[in-house]
Amino acid sequence: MKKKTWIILGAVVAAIVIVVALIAGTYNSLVSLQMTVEEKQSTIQVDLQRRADLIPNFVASVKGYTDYEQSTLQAVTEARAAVGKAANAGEQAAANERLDSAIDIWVNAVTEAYPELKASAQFIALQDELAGTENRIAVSRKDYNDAAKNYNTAIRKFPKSIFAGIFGFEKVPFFEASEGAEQVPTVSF
Amino acid sequence: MRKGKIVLCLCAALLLLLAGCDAQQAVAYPEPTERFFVNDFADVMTDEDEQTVYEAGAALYQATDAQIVLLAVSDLGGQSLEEYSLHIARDWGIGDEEKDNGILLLFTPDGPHSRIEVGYGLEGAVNDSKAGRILDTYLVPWYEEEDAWSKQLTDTYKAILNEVYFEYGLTENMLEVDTPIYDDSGDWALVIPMLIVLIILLASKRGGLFFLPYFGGFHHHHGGGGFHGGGFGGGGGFRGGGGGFGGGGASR
Repeated sequence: MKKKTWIILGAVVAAIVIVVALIAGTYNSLVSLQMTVEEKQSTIQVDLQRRADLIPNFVASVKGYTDYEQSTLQAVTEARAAVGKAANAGEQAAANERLDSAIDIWVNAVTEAYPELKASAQFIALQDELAGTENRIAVSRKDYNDAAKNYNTAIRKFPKSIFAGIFGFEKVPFFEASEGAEQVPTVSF
Repeated sequence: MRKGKIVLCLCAALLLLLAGCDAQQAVAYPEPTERFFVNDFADVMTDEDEQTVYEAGAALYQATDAQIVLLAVSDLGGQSLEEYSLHIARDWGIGDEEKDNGILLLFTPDGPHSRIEVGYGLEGAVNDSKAGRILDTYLVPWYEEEDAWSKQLTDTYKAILNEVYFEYGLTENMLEVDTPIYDDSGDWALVIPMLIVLIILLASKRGGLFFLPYFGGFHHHHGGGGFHGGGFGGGGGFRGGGGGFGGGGASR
C-alpha cells in the first residue's frame, strides 16, 4: 500500500512540475515577445525624435527665403508639436502622418517660390536626411507592427491566452493611423 | 462517384488558384553570388570592373570587417526601391552581426534607379546626405549613358569604400576615384567660371539647375592609390554576417 501512495505522490509532483514549467515557459515567451514590442517601439521613438530634431535645421536653412505662404510652415510646427504629445502608438501614427504631409506641403511651397533651392547643396542634403529619416520611420514602424502582431497573436491563442489573461498581458495597438487622421488641417492660401 | 470527381476537381482548381496567388505575391529575390561583394544580375558591368569591385570589397572586409555589396538587378519585382534594398540587405545579412557594418549599393537599369542602404553601424560614416551626394556625384549624371554604368558603379562603390576606410582611420588604404564633376584640388579660378557658364546655359535652356555641384563638404582622398588585395582571384566564398539595417541611406 505504501508503494501505491508513493506512486500517486510522485505523479502529482511530476504533474505540478510539468504545469509549472509550462506556465513558466509560456510566461517567459510572452515576456520576450513583449520586450521585442517595446524595443521596436523605442526605435520608432528614436526615429521620430530624429525627424523632430531635423525640422528646425531645415527651417533654418530656408530662413532667408520668406516669399511663400507662411501658414504652411505653421502647419509643420503644429504637427511637430503634436507628435511629441501623442500618448500611444495609434495617436503617434496619426500625428506622424499629419507631419509627413505638412512637411510635403511646406517643402513644395518653398521650392515653388524658390526653384533654385532644389539645386542648393545644403537643401539637397537636408532633403536626403529628411527622406532617410522618413524611410527609417517606415522601417521601424513595419518592424514594430510585425512584433506587435506576433505578440497580439500569441496572447490570443490557446493555451497562451489563459496565462495572458491571468498575468495581465494586454493587446498592444498597431502603429497605424485611423481613417481620416491623416488629413492635414486645410491651409488657406 | 461522379460527385467525388467534381469535388476533387474543385479542390484541385482551388489549390491551383491559391498557388497562383502565392506565385504572384512572392517577389523573387536573388541569392548572393559566390563573390558576395559584386552581384551583377542585370549584366551591366564588365568582367574587369567586377573583378576590381570584388577585390576592393574583399580587401575592405579583411581590413575592417565591414562589407559593402554591389547588387545590380534588371527589375525590382514590383517592390519599391527602399523595400527591395532593405529586404536584400537584411536577408543577405550584409555586415557583421555585432557591428552592423554593412552597406548595399543597389542599381537597376529599370529607371534607372539606385540606392545606398546603410547598416546601423555605418550610419555615422555614410549618413543619408552623404549617401545622396555620392550617388549624385558618381552615378546619377550617367543614368542616360548605358556604356558608362560599369565604370560609374565601380567609382560609386570605391567612393563608399573610401568613406568606410576613412571612418576606420585607414586612410592609407583608400582607393583613387576619378572625380567626375568637380575636384577640390583643381584650379578653382578656372572651374568656377566654367561652371557658371554651364549653369547659365542649363538654366536658360531647361529652367533646371540640377547640375550645380556641391562646394566642399566631401572628403577627398587622393593618394594611397593602387588596388589593394590582389590575391583574391575567382573563387569567393564570402557570406553575410547578419548585419542590421534600419532604413538609413539615400535613393535616386
